[in-house]
Amino acid sequence: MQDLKDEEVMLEYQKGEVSAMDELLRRYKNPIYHFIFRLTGNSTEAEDIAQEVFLRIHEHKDNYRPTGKFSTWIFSIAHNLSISRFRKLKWLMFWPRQNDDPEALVDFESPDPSPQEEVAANEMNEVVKNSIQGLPFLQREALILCEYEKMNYEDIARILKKSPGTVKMLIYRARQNLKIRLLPIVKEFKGGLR
Amino acid sequence: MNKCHINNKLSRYLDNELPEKEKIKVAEHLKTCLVCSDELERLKAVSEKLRIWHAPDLKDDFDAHVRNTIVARELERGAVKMKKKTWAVLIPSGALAGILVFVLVVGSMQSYIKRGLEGRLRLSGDEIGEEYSPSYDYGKASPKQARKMDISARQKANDGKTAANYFNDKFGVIEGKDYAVLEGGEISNGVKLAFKDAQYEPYYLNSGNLREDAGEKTMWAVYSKAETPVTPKAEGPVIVIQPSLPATGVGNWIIRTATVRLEVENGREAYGKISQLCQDFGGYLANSNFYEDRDGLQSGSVTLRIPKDKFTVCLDKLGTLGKVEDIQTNSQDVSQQYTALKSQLDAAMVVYNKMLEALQKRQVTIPEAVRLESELTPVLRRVEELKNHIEQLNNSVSFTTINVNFHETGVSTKTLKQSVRYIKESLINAGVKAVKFIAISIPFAIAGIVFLGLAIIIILVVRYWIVKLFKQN
Repeated sequence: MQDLKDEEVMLEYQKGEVSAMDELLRRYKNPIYHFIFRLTGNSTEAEDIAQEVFLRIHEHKDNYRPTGKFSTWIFSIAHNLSISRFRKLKWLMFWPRQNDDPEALVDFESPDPSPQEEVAANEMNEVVKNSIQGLPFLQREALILCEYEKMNYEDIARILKKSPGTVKMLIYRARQNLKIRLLPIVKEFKGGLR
Repeated sequence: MNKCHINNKLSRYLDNELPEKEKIKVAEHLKTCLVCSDELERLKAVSEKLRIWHAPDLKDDFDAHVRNTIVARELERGAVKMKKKTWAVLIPSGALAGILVFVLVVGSMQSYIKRGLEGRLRLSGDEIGEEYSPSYDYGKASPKQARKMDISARQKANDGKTAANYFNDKFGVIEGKDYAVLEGGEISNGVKLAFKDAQYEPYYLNSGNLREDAGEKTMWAVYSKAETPVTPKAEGPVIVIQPSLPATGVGNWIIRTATVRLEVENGREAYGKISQLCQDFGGYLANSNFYEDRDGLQSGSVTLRIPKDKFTVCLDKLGTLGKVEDIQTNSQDVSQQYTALKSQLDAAMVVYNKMLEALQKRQVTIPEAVRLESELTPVLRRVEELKNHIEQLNNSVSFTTINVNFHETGVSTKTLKQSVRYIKESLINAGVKAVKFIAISIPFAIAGIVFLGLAIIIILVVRYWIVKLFKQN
């Protein structure tokens, strides 16, 4: 099962091979979770949505046709669910929340940081997170798929159901926005980038 | 920014999304343009900074949780399917069962009503004055013993069996096994005599009555010996005697009367139907009354004169016009009376004819003729009286008398119609009031919506300022 491509694994699951779901989980649970976590900024919500993504895969396994990449399909499911949740929360969460997710502050790429570095990294981590969270939803989504999931524009366009030109603009604007937000802070930590 | 710069392509250049030719051009441009190369560096720096943010991995139990949820949903879906299947089976089954129950109930009710009605009418009608034609096993019962059957009996019974036992006891044992019993069927099916190994002169049910009052049935019947014996038919060991229509020959001079009380839906309609029924059977209305009380309930009484051969059928038809509350029938055998009258008439006619013959021959003197004339007049009067009497008797026998008393049910159709009309009017009034209420409410609703909109706008503005405040802090 491990040697099979994603699409083949999904076809196996479609045929009723239960272990295929384990393989799909092994391959995609963290990418999907990371994508949603970065999109929503909330680990609990991200876990719920990620779980729902795999449940949708199970429920719609009979409808799956290997016409495109499996990754595109699974990420579009995640995108759809995130949008639904976002729209719901937009009305439910009337008042803005401060970050109440402690897990969002952990896991740094720092093998053995000193306390000062840890504090600095924590702060930087939060700055980056807030900067991304401050982006419009579609810009944020396109940027995350591009920067973190390393997807090409065409796949992103398929996931977001937009044209590649729109995706290009979304990523460009997201970077411009982030540049404005992050530049002053980057200057502090790196000695400035003008 | 200068137009010669390629700022808008740098993002795609960074992501390696430019076509090969364009990529080369951008690379060439970057070598010479400090502004664009700086911009690219800034974008790279931002991209690097973004990688600082590492999302945590999922917990270890995620896989198990997903699998469990899949299983749970499958079970749930299965339950839903089961429910759907259950309903898919239950609804048609329930409908079928309902139809079956309905058919059974209606069938049994119809059967009950029919049997009850038939029983009542047959008991009181069909068997009255009818002769039974038993098979004979000669030489086992004497006429004397048979005459013991000319009895009357009255019995109060809740079921036919009790009544049968009673009649059995009443008739007793006639020389051992010669006895008469009532069939053990329901009493409402009518009284039927069963003769066993008996040689009797035919008997007929003289009169009978079956009344039902608060579930308690009361029956009485009188059996009489028929004046004219019926020729015996083929022999048979046990014969259940079935009633047959009475013969109309000489010797069957029986005056039959009946009184029927009906509860009907519509008095006027019932009156019309009874009249029509009478006309259809070739009879006539002897008397009729029609009433309507303060509550609009109609009732009436009609006396019908129906040809004797239509008596039973007419009673049956009357039973269909409404609920039969009570039915009483009676018959009076006037054969002897007729015979006596006929004899007297014959004798009077002989005297009359002789006197008339003598008078016509003129063999008498005038004083004798005067005397004969004076003697002839009372004889003639007597003849006329006898003829009238016989004619009356003939009329009474030929045309049976049925008194029908009918009344509407407690809740008449009129009352029902009035109730329906009242409900309709109430509904219309309620509808009008509802429309009025809605019409009045519209301005208030609009005001409410406007107020709500304003409130939402205010809240949104406040929220916006609070968000701004948070960001500033």
